[in-house]
Amino acid sequence: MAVFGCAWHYRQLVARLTVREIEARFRGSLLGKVWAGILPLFMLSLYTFVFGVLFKLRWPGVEGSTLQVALLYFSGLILFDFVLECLTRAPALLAEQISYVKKVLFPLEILAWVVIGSALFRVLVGGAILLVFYLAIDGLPPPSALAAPVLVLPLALVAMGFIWFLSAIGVYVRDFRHVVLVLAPVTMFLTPIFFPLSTVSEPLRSLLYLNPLTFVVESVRAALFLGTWPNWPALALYTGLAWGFAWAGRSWFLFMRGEFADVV
Amino acid sequence: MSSEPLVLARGVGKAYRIYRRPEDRLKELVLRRRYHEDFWAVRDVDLSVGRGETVGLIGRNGSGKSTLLQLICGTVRASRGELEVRGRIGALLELGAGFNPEFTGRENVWVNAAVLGLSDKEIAARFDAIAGFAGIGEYMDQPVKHYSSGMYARLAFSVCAHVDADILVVDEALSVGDGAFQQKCMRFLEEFRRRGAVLFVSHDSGAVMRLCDRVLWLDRGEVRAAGPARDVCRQYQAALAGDLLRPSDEIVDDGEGGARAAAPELVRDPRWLGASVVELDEFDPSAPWYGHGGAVIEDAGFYEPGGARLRATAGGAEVELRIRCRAERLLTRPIVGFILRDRLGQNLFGDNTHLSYWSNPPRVAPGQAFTASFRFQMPYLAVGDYSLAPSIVEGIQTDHIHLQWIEDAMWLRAVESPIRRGLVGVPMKEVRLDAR
Repeated sequence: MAVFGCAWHYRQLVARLTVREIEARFRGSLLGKVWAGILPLFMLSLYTFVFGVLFKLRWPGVEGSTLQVALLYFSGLILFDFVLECLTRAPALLAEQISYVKKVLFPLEILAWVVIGSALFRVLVGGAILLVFYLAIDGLPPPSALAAPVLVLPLALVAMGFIWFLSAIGVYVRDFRHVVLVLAPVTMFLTPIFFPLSTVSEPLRSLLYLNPLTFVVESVRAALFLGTWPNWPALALYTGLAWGFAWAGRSWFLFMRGEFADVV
Repeated sequence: MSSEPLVLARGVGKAYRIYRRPEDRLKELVLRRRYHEDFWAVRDVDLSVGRGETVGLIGRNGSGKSTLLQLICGTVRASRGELEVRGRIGALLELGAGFNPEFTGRENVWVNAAVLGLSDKEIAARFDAIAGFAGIGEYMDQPVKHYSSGMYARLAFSVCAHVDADILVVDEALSVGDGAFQQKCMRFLEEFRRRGAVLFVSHDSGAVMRLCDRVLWLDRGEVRAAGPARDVCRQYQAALAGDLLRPSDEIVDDGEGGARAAAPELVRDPRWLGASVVELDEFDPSAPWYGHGGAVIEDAGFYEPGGARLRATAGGAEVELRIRCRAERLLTRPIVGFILRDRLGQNLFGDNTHLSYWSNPPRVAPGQAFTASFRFQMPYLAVGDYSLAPSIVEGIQTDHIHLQWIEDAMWLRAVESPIRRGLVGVPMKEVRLDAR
């Protein structure tokens, strides 16, 4: 349980900061919170247009309209966007909060939960849009769709590990924000978002499983669109590894924490 | 229980590791090899503060006061020694420290109180009291980055006053805000010190003597004296005044009078020897400025005549104000000047280079640096804050354009003064009372 640590103790603070963070993103804009919905909608229409209308790509094994295929992409993109959001925020997380690092005894490790929380909010909005289109086109999703939110949680653990790890390193060297930006498009194409993993030939297919997104993206898509329940033993193993990674990230963060105030 | 100290430090020290490059720090952590040199900001401090005690910390800038407070607050870890802190600490370390500038006052209150361990319910119950004490009205819902320093301090103090702290750490925070609020703070402190422990840091020996039972005098990170407030403050003042007056005394006596025959003789009032202390802040490059551009003021500071930069001086001392500028284009008739104002904005005195150079105006090439120096006897200023506004203009005194004018480029703080009435003191050559 150590991963949750003082987050439970400070749950009210985490909730407050998260809500504030989400609000702050849209504060001062004319459309306000409408933007939270516009961005994923725009993403959905862009990919529908580019891949469906321009490239006329089809999804192997799925007979469906252009919009249906776009929803397949969209499910993967929501998850990729979630991880990317966490990773781009992490390196500068502490540098942005100098007064919390230096001036008060702030429980810095909860900042990671705030990032996760506001990123999960985007997943929620994206998921809601996905659901609306799903209901409009295909009607009721299969029962296995209930597994999709469960599958997001271990991915969030992986993201937590990355946030703790990167935000602690980010105090010392400023390079990782660039590293993340460089790796983002690479990771996007190394994640089976625009293609099913089954179209990839073998040595490469196993390698793609090293990407923590692969398992979750594939399983979520199968659960939502194919009516396939997740492979439970594999999910258990994945969750175990994710937990270990998050724990390692947090330990690293706490190990470095003592020096943050001297460095920032 | 009550006899147990709330803060107990034994041989506490803090070494900052100085690295030549930031990545060396990471290398050291991973490779386990030494890449740093130690700088001891605080060394071998023993301190014990119990409930109902107020302990003052005095010392010059850079003497380690702030580091010691950070150690006690727990934001910085001690490198050596033992430090025990029991109870909740309300810290007023710096203006608005711990406030997120983007958050509104209301949000910052919630976050700060939650960090100090209050639950949502407790904060909700106290919020009105906090807002009332701070008295900043509807600014509560503005981001604190729009606050004046006074409002910042009021809100910060108000939060600290309402979190049931056991230990209150106050660092200079009371010196801002209007008189009414300062009095409110003082009343609160008076009342708080009976039930909690207070650590009070100030340059103002008067306030320290008034508030504190005991005082710790830090000098270059080490305890130079500790004991009853009055005794230690006296020693501190004497040492400060002694340090300040010695160098300029020597200059008066060094027999070089011939070289400076034209300069007026220094007049000092013997009754005021050691009674004046003026602290000099750093030049603030981010201070607001006006002007058309063409030259920039890069630095301004007080120096011993022909010598090192001063961090403090005294009324009656001979000082040299140097204003360093750089031309951004060809300047044909530059005039450099300054004005010193009190905190109400009243002009006290100022001067410029015009009269000394009017017949033979210097030309400055683009990119060239040039420095104006003014050597004068520091007046005896009344206690208070003073701001220096340096300026550079081009033209003549009656017809010129401002190239750059920096408001509040540097602050001077007269922390000790023999002056009780008036803006400045005039040293008396003779005082007599004749009875016939």
